[in-house]
Amino acid sequence: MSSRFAEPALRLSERQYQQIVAHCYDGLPDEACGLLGGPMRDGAPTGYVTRVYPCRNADASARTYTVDSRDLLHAMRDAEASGGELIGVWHSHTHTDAYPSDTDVRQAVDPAWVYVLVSLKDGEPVLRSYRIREGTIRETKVVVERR
Amino acid sequence: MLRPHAEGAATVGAEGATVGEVFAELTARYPGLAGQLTDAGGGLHKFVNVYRNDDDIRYLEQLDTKVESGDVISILPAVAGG
Repeated sequence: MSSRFAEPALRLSERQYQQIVAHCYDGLPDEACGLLGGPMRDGAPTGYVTRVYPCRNADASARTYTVDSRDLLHAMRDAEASGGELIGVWHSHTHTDAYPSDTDVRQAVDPAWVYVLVSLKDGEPVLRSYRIREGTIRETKVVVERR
Repeated sequence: MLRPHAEGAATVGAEGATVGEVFAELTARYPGLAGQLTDAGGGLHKFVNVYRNDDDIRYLEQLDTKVESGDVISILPAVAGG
């Protein structure tokens, strides 16, 4: 059966979900960002997240983000030391939807990565996950599980 | 993140007295990396961060930063968006 969703589904624990959302609120009024670590299979992320790495937004901006390069270095080392790799990045949109902006698409760094957007524009946070490949955006499912 | 340009390798060995010399060896081996590491003027590409062990080479001597046997050079593309 065909699905509107791309693979793989993003699988977060409840605690990881809460960590991501809390970091996004902590970053207000600026955008917040962080990285995801997890296992790979055949060179691609399985979607299962084992580590979340809240990072500093080097831009300190409400409109753009750049993951602080030292935070990126440390996250990469930790993910690799734990047998996985960095598999994606999340960032917040403070006043727009949880959908990749043109800038997000243009600057997408790795076609294998999962791109997670957290919108804080309404009372409740909205977290969605995407693949961005050659300028094409496809949503993936997000599974928040008890583990 | 740059692995597709280096035949999928996560870690590669290279020799050189400076980061620039190491990059020259890498780009000779993996031509696809050339435009990823340096800009048209031969300087460090602005969307790449390079660390010698724990030090950002932008705050050292850029591509002239010295390297010694056993140093680890980490090449990190900017992770950014809007």
